[in-house]
Amino acid sequence: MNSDKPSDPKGRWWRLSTILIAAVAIAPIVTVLLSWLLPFSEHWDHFGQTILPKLVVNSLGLLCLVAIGTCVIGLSLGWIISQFDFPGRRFFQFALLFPLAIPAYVIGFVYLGLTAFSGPLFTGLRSIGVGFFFDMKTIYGAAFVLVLSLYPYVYLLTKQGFATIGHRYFEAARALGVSSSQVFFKVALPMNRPWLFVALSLVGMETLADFGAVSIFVVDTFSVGIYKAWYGFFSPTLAAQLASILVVIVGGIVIFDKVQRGKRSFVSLTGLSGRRRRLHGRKAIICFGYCCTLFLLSFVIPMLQLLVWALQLDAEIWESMLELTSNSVLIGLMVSLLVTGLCLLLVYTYRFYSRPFIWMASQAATLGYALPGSVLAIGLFLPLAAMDHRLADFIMNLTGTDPGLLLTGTVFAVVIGLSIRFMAVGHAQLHAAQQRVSKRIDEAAQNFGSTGIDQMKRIHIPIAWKAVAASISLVFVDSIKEMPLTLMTRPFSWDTLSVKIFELISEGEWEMAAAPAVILSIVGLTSLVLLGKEAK
Amino acid sequence: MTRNVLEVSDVAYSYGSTQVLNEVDLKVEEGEIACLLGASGCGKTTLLRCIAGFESVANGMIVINGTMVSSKTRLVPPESRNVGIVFQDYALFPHLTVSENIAFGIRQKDPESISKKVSSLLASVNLESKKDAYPQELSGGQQQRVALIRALAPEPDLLLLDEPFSNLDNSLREKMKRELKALLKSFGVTAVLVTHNQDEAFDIADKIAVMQQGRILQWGSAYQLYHEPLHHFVAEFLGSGVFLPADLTTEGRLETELGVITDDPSLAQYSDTHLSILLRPDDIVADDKSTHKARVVAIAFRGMYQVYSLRLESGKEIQCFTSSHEQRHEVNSMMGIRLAVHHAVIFSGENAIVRHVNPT
Repeated sequence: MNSDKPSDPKGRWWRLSTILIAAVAIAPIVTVLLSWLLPFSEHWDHFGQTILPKLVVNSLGLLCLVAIGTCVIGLSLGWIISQFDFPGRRFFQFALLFPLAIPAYVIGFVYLGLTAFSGPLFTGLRSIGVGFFFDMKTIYGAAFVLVLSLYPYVYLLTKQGFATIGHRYFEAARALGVSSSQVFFKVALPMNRPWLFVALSLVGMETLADFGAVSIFVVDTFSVGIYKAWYGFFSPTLAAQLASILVVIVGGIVIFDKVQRGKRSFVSLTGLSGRRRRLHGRKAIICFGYCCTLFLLSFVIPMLQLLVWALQLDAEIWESMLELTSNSVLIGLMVSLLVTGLCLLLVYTYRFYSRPFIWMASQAATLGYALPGSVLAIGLFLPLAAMDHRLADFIMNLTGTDPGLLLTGTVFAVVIGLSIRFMAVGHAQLHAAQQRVSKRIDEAAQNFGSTGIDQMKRIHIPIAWKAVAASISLVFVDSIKEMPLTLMTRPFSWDTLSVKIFELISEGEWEMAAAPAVILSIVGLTSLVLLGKEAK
Repeated sequence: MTRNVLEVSDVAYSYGSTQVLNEVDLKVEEGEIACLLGASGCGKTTLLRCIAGFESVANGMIVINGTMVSSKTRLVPPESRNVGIVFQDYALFPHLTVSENIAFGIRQKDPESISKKVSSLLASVNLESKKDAYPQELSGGQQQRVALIRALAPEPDLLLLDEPFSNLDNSLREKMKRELKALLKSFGVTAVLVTHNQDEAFDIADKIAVMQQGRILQWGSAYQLYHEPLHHFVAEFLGSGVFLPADLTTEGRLETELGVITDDPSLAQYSDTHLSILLRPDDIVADDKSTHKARVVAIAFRGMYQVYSLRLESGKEIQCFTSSHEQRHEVNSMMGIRLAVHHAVIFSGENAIVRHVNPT
């Protein structure tokens, strides 16, 4: 007779791997925070007195501007689209998400090109005798671009919020004598707060993470500061210390976000979606015009300008895109498959072999989404570089040949960094999918002798294959769009589309940069449309 | 000779500091349909999950077909118990067809015998035409039948059913109850069923265990539980009824305000204690000639019968069923009633003493 307490030795391996993934994922954060133990760089005095205050003011200022802008635009769109019916509503409902497919730095350089002194806008104005000029390279210009690129988050989530709350509450308010315009401020907005705050925390994280747009608009935020400390002052320690300050700010946003996420279910009444009110005449025209203007500014104008530039390019330039594209696709495939595989492990360890700490561990494993690429790069580089030299010495001693830098000199660092950053994307998809499957399904399968990997293969992956596909494609697009992390961890002179765009726009080669930007945008748009179709 | 397929002895289970099951004993004979009946949270589903092997017991043991499968130190996994389960939500695999669902539990066998087995099972529940359908395309009743034959495919020693009718609407439920009982009997399978609905238990089960707060209060046939409840909770939980105060003389004469219930010297030992007697509505008969009168408080028309709520002289309220054809008494009028008791269920505290009575 078996005298042991019931235990599951298989579950032990699953749980161990979860903890391992979590440890790797939080290593960069720990590294960055521990950087204060390293000797202070000689640049610190100069940096602390003159540059640091500027970084703080710029970062927080940009954060406020972008938050206010996305809040006003996203919330108003969410309300209009969810409550009213007007010409074009069905199209705009989906089309207003298109800016998500284009990186902010692409929208940014298009607007810089358009508004350059010799660009089409001012050339056109001068030709009709208007000698007016302004420079977009300010914090307001950067905020304008980030708002155009990030408002879809607020729009999407608040629209979801209004749909979840349901019309019944708004009707109840009307019946109690609240006028239709007051319903928005007295009932809809307060009830939508949890969704709005989740969206704003995403916008906050993206704003702090942005490196491309701010650096071309010459606004020194923390992301730029970290990059400059590393490549300008050649001081990884200083970069890490700066990064740790950013980690603390982002940490505040993450905690705010987690608290708000928990509140989202408190009002949900299901099955109460009422009919949208049909608008006529002036009101319909205003709504149509508003959606149309935003769609033009955030998508049509940037895309048209990109295409105009791209069509003027020689075949030679397009040929040179081949290698960049294949590098991007290679990275995208490696990262999306790795992330999806690891997320399956995390999600099903939690499902099959959960212990109280497993949920904590999988939360920790997905924290990377909050880390700006520049922070992740520095947090990853320091430990990898240390390991790299040990590894090289070890192999040298063993075999007598120098293997070179295996971790930091190859795409290994890029793949690990991007995987840490986008774990949350895959995890959200797969976790939501497994939650929709009754636990009784597992028990039925177990009763018939199918457990662990076998159960995943026979039951869960076939049921959740759409989520697996969504995870792979979302992570794929996110990782080829990502720029600062790839820029800072890639092997020497090894470029991807996103890195090439940055290099070209740093040199003011806007027309040339249009080629990789068009490719990136088409890939992003395709996957967005495919996922949108699937979701319907 | 009948033998026990399932023996549960002295089983305890706790979740955190909450004692969910305590001193649970149960024996189910081969071919018998047993039912665990109780309100939600009484521990019935937990007991079923312990028998299935999804939960380990803190004390006691569970023996299936002579093999000890659960004890404080042993937990045979669910897949090695040869137990079939029909889940409350059926848990049919949504990505597999009906045939593939049924074949899942016997996938180790050779393809030919699998397909033979699957078609004979489908034939037994008249679902041959649905073999290539997906579970979502079936009605609730069809899903239940598929779940049943899927569980029976590996020929389990014991079949467990968790609230099998809770996902069906009322009209379908009646039909499925009859069908399920006939199927279980035709397969000759030993089964344990969990439900909170006494009609389901009465209709299907050979024997019923009434559970409360993690304990089995009484284990017996539907008739025994209804007419000879041994516990206050069992009497209240099954059917309606009132507890009428009674006096017991030193000679063993049991008297209530509606007259003498029984005259039994063996009851004499209980005299001087505070007693009450269970009166079911069918223990009281309308009789205009009776000297015992009660005031009509309310009348509820139920179609086949009507229920009178009557207030006795003492102020106690009782209920009485009459045929709906019978002449109506008006509210506030007086109505003659007499006792027609077959079992005197006498309570002193929580536990009952039961005596057969010859109705007068």
